[in-house]
Amino acid sequence: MTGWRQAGLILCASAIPGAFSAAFHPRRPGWVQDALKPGEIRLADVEGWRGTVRWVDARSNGDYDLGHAPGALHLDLLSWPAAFPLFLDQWQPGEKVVVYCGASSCHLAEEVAEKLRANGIDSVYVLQGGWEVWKARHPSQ
Amino acid sequence: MGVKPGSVVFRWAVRVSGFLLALAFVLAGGSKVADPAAFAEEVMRYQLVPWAGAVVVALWLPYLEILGGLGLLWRPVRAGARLVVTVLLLTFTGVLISALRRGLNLDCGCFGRLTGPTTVTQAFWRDFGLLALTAFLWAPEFAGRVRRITAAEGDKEKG
Repeated sequence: MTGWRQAGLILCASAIPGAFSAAFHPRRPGWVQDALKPGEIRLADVEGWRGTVRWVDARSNGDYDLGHAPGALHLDLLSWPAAFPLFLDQWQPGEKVVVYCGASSCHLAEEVAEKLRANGIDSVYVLQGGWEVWKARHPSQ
Repeated sequence: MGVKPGSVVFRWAVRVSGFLLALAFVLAGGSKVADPAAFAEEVMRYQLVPWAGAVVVALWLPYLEILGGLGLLWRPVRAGARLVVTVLLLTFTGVLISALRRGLNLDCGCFGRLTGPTTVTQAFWRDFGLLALTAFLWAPEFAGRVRRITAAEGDKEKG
């Protein structure tokens, strides 16, 4: 049997467990990616950006203290009067801002993003899936 | 002083290279099998294929890596596994070069969560090292071809 035929055999043999994974794996990906809502961004896209990203954590103070994205600023509607000036100190014009809250079901990030846009901050996005997605991607942090 | 094909040192270099490559591929594939959904996201970070393509890669590639790696240890399919492993490494290196050229700032995702975060540059040099090891796998065949050609030319001269 030549090397090419053996390679073909390996390709076909590996497709069999791949097909089983597609049908039965508990963590199989769907064939259609979840659509983005207006203003939302996927973590994969954020990680592909050049330059720095300003992370904003819109969850509760307690959740923020338990863990947050490195360099993320805590900014929710309750802490807005005190935290927004801090945000302005750190944010550079042109810098992209990504806001997240707990999960897809949480709307705090959308509210904070909307308020940031209303205050003249451009390029504000909401992280699709929120902290759950971030945590799944960075389990050690 | 060069190492001659057929010498003990050369044969051991081929064996060790095959074993190291097999280990790397089995570990790389095994680390991705548990969570194809997460691996599909990793593939998407390279921004080279649409989501459906990333899903196919996420479902198929881990098993291809495992079988390619194991094939290097099993003589009846070793030549095919060598081909699979080499083509995969060339593809991975091309993808990493593409990511570097586009300035993508991402974690390679090559070994799933088995290793810590690996930058594209680190992954490129690791792949380069693995490609260098594949050279040992191909060397006996090339040495054999050179011997056959030399012998054929010798026969012609005698004739």
